[in-house]
Amino acid sequence: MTDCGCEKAKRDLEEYLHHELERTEYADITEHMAGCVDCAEEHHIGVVLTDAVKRACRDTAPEQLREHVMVQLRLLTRHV
Amino acid sequence: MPAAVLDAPLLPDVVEWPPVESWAMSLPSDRPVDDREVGPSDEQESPLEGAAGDEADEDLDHEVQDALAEPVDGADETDAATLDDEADAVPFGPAATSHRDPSEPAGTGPDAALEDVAPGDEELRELFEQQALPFLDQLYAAGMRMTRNPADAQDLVQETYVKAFSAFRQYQQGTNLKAWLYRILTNTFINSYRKKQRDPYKNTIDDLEDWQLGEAVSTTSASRVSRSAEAEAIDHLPDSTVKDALQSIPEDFRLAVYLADVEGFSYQEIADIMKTPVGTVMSRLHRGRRLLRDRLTGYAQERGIAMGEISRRATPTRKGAVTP
Repeated sequence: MTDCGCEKAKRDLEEYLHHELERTEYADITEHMAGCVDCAEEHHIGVVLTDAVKRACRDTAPEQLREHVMVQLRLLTRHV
Repeated sequence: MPAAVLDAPLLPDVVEWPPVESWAMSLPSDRPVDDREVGPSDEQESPLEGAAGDEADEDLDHEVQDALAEPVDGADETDAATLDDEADAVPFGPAATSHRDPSEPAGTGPDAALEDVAPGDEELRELFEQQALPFLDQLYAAGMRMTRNPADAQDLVQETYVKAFSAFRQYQQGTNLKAWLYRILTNTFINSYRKKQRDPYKNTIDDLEDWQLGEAVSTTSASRVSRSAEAEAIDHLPDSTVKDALQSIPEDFRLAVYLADVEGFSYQEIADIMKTPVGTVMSRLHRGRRLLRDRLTGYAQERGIAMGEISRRATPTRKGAVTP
């Protein structure tokens, strides 16, 4: 058993979540969480938090913005 | 995303540089040292260029900055000159004119590009529209997180597109257009909008302790309930609540969280966009997420969402945990 332990796992969970760890570290933490409910739940909160933020931030630009941008670009192209 | 991709190099394999001499300006190479080389990349976008750190890179960097600092005709109202006061407020690194549409008239060199968007550039505009407009919704959403109101967000995004198009010749095809656009968006926001807002935390937020941000990490609401209850509660919060919580955390933290969690940028890409070291990105992200989590858990508790019942079940021996 080469469990990296809760301390390391907890410290690196955020990088784990954001896929910023190297392959071996990633594997170590995955392995640790398989046997540690505490860390797995902590990770789960991180995932849920990310999903909640993603869900909440789905704004759609007003159609007029697209039109204004395209008008501006045409003006820029025509202006010499 | 598998961890394997993290080893991918930041530099594209093929970078065709125009002769440095043709980019006349001899500005000092004073771009701050960053740690682009060491950061991991991200699979979802083309790799960033700009990690080379060679002279051509730096000179071109300044050129793009100049192109951005001087709005072309018709863009005067965008107040683009505010970029001047951020000497390194530049989109990602170099750009090679050799990657441009070959149908472009000969003699339309970089110098001409600096003067103006040359006539007969319908193709360039079409290419720009085709490549950059698909990011409109995303940039608007980011603009909303930054400015916190639709009118300013629209102005910000429009200004971003004008600047990006004006500098589009310096954008190197095949590199990370999304990150480039986000960097222009962020620069524009910092240089014009944030000044107006006079954010009291500006430049100091990273130095503040958690308690100064109104949080007491050691006694977070989160620590008093079970984690599964907390996760469930956060999961059930309405979008508007999550948005409010996000708007309530300090701007730099909010932006880092947005860029990482909504846009999926890598830490290195966020560092490039926000012009901060990767370590600062990690700190902002960590503290931002921590604040967000505490506030969301707090909202959930106030509203009695799930948390009460589940936490009583999970911690039956605690005070006040008497089941009805």
